[in-house]
Amino acid sequence: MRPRPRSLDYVFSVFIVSAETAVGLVMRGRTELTEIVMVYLLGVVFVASRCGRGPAVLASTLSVLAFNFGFVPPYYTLAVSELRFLGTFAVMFVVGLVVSDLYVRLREQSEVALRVQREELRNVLLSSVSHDLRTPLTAITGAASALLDETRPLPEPTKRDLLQTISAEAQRLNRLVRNLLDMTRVLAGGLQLRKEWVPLEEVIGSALNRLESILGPRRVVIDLPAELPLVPMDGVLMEQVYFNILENSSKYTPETATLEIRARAAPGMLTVAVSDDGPGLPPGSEDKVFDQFFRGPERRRDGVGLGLAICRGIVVAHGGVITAANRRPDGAAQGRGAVIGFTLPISGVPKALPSEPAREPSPHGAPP
Amino acid sequence: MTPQEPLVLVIDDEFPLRQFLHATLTSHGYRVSEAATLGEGLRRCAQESPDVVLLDLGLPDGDGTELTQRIRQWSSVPIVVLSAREQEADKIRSLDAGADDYLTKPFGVGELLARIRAALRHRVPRPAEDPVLTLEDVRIDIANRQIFRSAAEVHLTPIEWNLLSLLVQNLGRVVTHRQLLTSVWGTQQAGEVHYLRVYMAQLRHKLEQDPARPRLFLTEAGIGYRLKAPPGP
Repeated sequence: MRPRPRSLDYVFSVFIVSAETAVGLVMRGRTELTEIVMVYLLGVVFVASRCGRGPAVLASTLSVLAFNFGFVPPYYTLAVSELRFLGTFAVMFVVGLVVSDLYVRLREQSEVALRVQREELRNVLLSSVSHDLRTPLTAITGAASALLDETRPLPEPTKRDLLQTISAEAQRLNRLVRNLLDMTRVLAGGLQLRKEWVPLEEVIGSALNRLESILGPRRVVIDLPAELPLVPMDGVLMEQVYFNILENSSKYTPETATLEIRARAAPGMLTVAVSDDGPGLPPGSEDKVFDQFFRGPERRRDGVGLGLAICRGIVVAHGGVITAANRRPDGAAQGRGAVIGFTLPISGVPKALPSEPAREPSPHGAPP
Repeated sequence: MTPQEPLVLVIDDEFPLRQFLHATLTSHGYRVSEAATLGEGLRRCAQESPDVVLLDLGLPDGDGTELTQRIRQWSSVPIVVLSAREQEADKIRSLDAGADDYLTKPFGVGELLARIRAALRHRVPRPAEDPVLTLEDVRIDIANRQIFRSAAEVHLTPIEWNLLSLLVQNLGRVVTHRQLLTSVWGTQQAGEVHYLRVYMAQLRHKLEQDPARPRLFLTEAGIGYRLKAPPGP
């Protein structure tokens, strides 16, 4: 909701009418009175759009008075020589009020619509989250209570399985909570970027480190040119982008899959593509994968469909663009695979490193 | 139990976490003392002189960083901070205030024991008779300033050597960007984190089998670096 009009809004309203009067006075005699009236009405609508009802009423009133004072003979008095002008005043005043009122109401309605949308989002979030949080919780509770049940001793292998369930489900719960917190930060527009000059290899390495157990035996090919420059980014958030994309790729590919991270730098721009050789994206879903709560066709049980939405939030906050596509858009049955690509702008140059005596050839983009 | 077993003071208000830590640590040969509040933690720390302190940053009765500062006024006992992932600023603040390391919740037993071992190792200075450190296929001879990968000698620049020896001194422990920058480049360059990142990349290219998937020179995103210690006994 808009806050109540402040006194500044009323000053703004007076300023607009004064400016119109000044312009009108310069034009007086060279233009029709109806055009002057139009200019005043336009001002009222403008004030209504910027400042709301109260200042718009003031602008209507002032417009009528200024019109009478400056443009209706006799000039510079509020006296009216012809009765028909009283009708003009009334119409001008009423039109000003009605138009400004309609404008304000329209805006209020769109605000209500926005609130309803947010409310819907919250409901989807709540129901989806409560389901996805409860599933691992149920598994953990069940496994733990079976282990605690002294009346029915379990064979050792079963115990071990149950303990593994507890551990895996707890990790899943942890990833869910992390995604939810990240998404909340993205949605709240509260992503505070701490940009520093970072070698891409470091961010990718630390994401891969965290992904070890999720990737399993999948092969990861990393294709970075040796002369790749440092890129300005928030390293912690970008690590999460790689983590989420690769986690997503492993969710939808078999364990025999090969994932590839490829990066190239052009002047002012870094381009990264993360591809896999799995089944690819369902046709038509290329843009939807970045929507919140979107999930692939099999609705894999781990996840709420936030990973790529978070990626988009982080990449966009960096001024980049993220897209998804199939490697072979013709939809050949074999070797399609999905590609998630994004760009990051590179502006400026990092402070040059102090030179070091007796240094050896640098492997990683350090200036000579 | 003998008094020689290291004493770990756990300062955490959550009973389940204290219970988990107690069970795990006693079964791995540590003695455990517990405190649920900062005040009690401070008192026990003074009375019992623990060998390691595990301090939760999210205590209800005050700021863990402040407790770290107060303990540091009279004790150099290793402090390992327990914190959530989102608390990066808090982690850096407590490391700057004198904490030795941190553990991000949730953590597993392996990680917990590795941190405690690393913390204890720094309580007692490294014995001088073992100046050679072996990490996977890398052999670091501190005394002779020599380093070998497999059998081949690797040559480091002076700055690379300085960085490496700082990380070796803190084997297994996180070293913050600021700590590395100020001791290698001086306080004036403490903000130029990319100097550090470029040199860490060079070290990885010289010493890691796959520099894009480092196993020794680990990145602690937003905080610093850690040279991974070999698995303990």
